[in-house]
Amino acid sequence: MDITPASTTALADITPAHYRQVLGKLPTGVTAITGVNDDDEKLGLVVGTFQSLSLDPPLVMFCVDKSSSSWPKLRKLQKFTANILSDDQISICRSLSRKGPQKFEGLPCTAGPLGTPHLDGATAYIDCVVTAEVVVGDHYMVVGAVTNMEEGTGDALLFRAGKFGQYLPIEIPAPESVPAKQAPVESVPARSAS
Amino acid sequence: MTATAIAPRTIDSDRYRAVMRHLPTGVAAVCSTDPVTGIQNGMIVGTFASLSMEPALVTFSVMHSSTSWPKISEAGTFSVSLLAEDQQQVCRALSAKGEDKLSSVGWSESEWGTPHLHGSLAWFDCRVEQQFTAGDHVVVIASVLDMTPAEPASAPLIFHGGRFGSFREAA
Repeated sequence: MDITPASTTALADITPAHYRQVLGKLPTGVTAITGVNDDDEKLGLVVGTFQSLSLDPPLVMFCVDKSSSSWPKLRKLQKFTANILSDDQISICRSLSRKGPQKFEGLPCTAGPLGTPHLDGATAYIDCVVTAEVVVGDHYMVVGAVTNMEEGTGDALLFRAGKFGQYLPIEIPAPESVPAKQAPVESVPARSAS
Repeated sequence: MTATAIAPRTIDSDRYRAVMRHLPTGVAAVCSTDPVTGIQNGMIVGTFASLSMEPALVTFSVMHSSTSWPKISEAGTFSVSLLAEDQQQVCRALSAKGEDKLSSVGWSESEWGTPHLHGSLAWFDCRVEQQFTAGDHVVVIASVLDMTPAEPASAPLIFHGGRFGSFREAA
């Protein structure tokens, strides 16, 4: 199903280069979508658009470029694992971002409950069954129903403005009137995904 | 259109949150000005994402029980301000319940009539194109009318593991 707007009303001329430059400001996690076909061929692709979607029922989503050669193969399986990559998995991200076959070769992984590969060292594993897919512009938007979720190890890898990075906790400075020893603990922020 | 789940195993909300907190997100303020009252409405999302370059589209999702989003979307045109690391107070102000949430926040009106929050990393002016329900959220697909990066560039606000932080480039 194609839900690309019939006529978008973009009056400003937004070139792909401008789109990339401005959206490059948005920090994202890095997630490997993995599966395995009947010939035991492991398949994988990397997205920066993996998102939480719904708590009840548990759903997640991601977007993948129409030009991806891996997604048509993964789609046939109708199930996948979203591996949230950790900050020591940059090389795995690079391997899976390559075009062509055998990009999974040598990557250590174990089969999850759906039989899909869990990459060793990822920070979380979300096993899903594809429940909806729509075409929007030059991407596919995929919704997965979560069947299993596991925490892994390490801290998340980040990507921003073409560079990999890590999460940097912000030190909240103590108000001047409060002695340093009695500095308040950082208050818990409101949930940002409402 | 509704996406329904086929979940052979129950995943309660605590487990969902515990695992998904491993996914770092940017923090975006979605705002508009009510065309009738002239009052600004706003909310915070952690799900703003790029979607399509040609045509230029972005997406985010919002709880279907949100009281802010119906008010924001009613204006037709809205803005997305991508928050910088020193905008935690902006995030808190817009996450709170209540009317006129932008009253304590610095902003300017764009040529699209939308509020751009001062000190942000980038601003997008958008129009709602599609919305569909997926579980307890609504997925919004919006066309980008204009997008502007701030100069000079500053560091982003990141929400991760239940805390605010920023980005450190890998060594």
